[in-house]
Formats: sequence, C-alpha cells, structure tokens
Amino acid sequence: MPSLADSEIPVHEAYGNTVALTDDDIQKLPEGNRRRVLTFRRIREIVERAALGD
Amino acid sequence: MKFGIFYEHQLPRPWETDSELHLFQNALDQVELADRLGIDYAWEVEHHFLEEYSHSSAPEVFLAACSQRTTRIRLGHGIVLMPPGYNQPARVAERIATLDLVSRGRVDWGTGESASRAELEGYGVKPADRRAMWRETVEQVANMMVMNPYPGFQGQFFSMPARNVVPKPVQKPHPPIWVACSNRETIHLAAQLGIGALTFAFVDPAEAKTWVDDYYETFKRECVPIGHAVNPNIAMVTGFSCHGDAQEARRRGADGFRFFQFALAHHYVFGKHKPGRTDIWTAFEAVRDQIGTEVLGGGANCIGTPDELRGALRTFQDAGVDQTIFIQQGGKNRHDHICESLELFAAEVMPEFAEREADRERAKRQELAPYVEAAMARK
Repeated sequence: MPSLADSEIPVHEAYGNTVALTDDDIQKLPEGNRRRVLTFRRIREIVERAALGD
Repeated sequence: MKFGIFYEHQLPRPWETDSELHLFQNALDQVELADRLGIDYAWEVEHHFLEEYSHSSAPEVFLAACSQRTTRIRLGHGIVLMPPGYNQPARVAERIATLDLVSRGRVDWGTGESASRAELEGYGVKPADRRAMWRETVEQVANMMVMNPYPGFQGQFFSMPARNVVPKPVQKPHPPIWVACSNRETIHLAAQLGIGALTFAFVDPAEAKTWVDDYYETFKRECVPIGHAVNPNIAMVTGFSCHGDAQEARRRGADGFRFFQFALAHHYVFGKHKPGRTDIWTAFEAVRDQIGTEVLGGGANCIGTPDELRGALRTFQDAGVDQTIFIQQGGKNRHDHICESLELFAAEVMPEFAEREADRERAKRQELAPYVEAAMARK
C-alpha cells in the first residue's frame, strides 16, 4: 500500500465534552468544572495568540 | 486513604526507534517498584491514536505484564472504553476475567465512554450515543461475568445469543467497577449506580470535599446498583513529584504535568491534528512560559516536598477521598526521577496514611453497611 503524501494526510480538529459549551453554559457549571473548562480555554487563547505572532 | 499510580504512557516527540520500547519497559519497572513500596494501585488508561498524549491502546496487555512482575498491587483499568465499537462487550468480560485469574484477583474494572474526535471517528462511534452505550454495556458485561449461562441480550447497541462467557473472574461476583468522571454530573451518576468514581478534574482539596459529600449522600439515598455488587469509592487524580527540595520537586515534576494538560487540551479542545505529523511537544515548548503555573491548578498539590505532600494529602483524606492517584509519568519526566519520587514518598509520607487505613476502612464499611444492603435490595 503506498504511503500518503504529506498533502493527502487529513487534519482533524479537536473534539471533547467541553468544546461546544457557550459562555452561559460555563457560568452555570459547578466551580470545579468551570475552572477546568476555563483553564483549557486559557491554553487555547495562548496558543492562538502565539500562532498570530503576538 | 489509598494511593495509586497512573499511566497514560506519554511520549512527547521527537521519537527514536526505541522510544516506545523504553517507555513501556520503564513503566513496568516503575509498577514493580511501586508494588515493592506498598503503593496500592496501578491504573492504566485506554486511548487510541492520541499521539504523544497517550500511547496506551492495549492496557490489558500492559496490566497482564504487570501481574507477572508484582504480587500485591491492584491492577486497575482506568478505564476500558465501553462503546462496542471499541470493545465488543463479551471480549471485555473475557479479558477482565482472564486478567483477574492471572493476577490472582487483583483487577479493578474502570469503565468510560471516550470523548476525543480522533478516537470516536477512528472507531466509528457516534458521540451522541456514548453515554447510552456505556450504560448498556457495563450492565451486560457485569452480567456476563456472573451469569451461567449469560442468557443473551437484544440491546440498542449490541446483541448476542445465550452463551456461557468464560472464564469467570476470581473476585466474586465480579471485580470492583469504576467510571471515569471529569465533572460532578458523572460523579453523581457513579453514586446512583453504586460504582467507584475515578475523577480526573484536578480539584483542590477544599473542593474535593464538596464532590465527596455529594457522592456519598447520593449513594446512600439513591443507589440502584448497575453491577452485582457495589463499589462505593471516590478517587482523585493529581500531578506528582516528591523531593526534599521544593524547587527541585517542581523542576522535576511540574513541567511534565503542564505538558499533560497541554496535550490533553490539544486533543480535546483546540488542536488541529495531522496524524503522524503534528508535533505537540514543539507546540508546547513555544508557549510553555506563557502557560505558567495556573494550568496546574489543584493538580499540583502533590508536587513538592514530603511535608508539602503530607499536608495536601491530609486535606484530601479529611475530605473523605478514598484514594489519591498520582500522574508521575507525564511529559518528559525522567524514569530515575519518578523512581526516586516514589521511594521518597513511600518512606516519608505514606506510613502515616497506611497506619490509619485499616481503621478508616472498617469505620467506612460499618457506616455504609445498611445503605449497601438497601441498595442491593433495590436492584
């Protein structure tokens, strides 16, 4: 079987239990859950800022 | 309180030809050491395709190897992915029972649904059906381990005719059942179904008390067992590094735990992953300093000196946590540092908790006895 060329390898986006949560959803979460979601959001923001070269 | 060690088998890039060989062989050595030191549990995840974050796709094989190098430590699936697309239910029953036999009755059967796109799409599991699949299959696998013959089942997500599923496990009626929980809703469900809660939320000790109280109040009030026995236990997972010098403990352990959180977020929250190509470690290094320590949150309480760990663990114990599980193998944490940490922890921290454990267990058993009886009567 031939290997995929680099351009043929499909990219998939992350998916998890918290991806679709809105800000309102997050405000309603118990404290521990909310902190966990916000922590991951903070990491995402840092990564997105870094990608923009900020 | 009991203690466990936890394995994702993390392997940040770059990889050499023998990187996975060393990863697995070192982990086996660590479990053997933990067994000698008196640590109570070794937990092993099941994940698929989550490069760098977890190379533990066949936990039953790793735990079977552990069983032949240890004599006392309990061997926990943390967890088995229960949707039938990952594991046909009868195969789960067969594997759990076989592991229980080769380990002479040392298996804990953790269960879960999975949540990442890489895994769900990779095995053709519909995200919307995960919870229902989990519930249907956990109940049926428990039945398979107990019933002779299993009468067969026509379910929403799997069906099979009457068969006697063999072998049967050593532990009767079946090994203790747990479920992976990352939020309070699932902890609540665990209590309602009479199974242990393996919590991966990295809560701080104060908050742990709220979660523990909710779990046991729900268990007492509402439990209708999904299995043929109950397993009222709540475990908390946390980062781990123990050294006489606090700065050195953090230098050795904090970065690995920070990568653990980053890689988790990559696969579950924000990453765009190109299989075989994406380099999560390099991405982590680019932002490591900006992530800082807030990411560690409640999960960093057991990264420090023996005194610091003792203080944090006393708070967990006072909150009613039954087991603390350490993520000691994260990121590029070194094998020799992990072993030194475990040895220091066992020598200087663990003894006071071990001394209290028999009394704590006895008191808990007595307190819960009428509630367990009532729960079993409701099944």
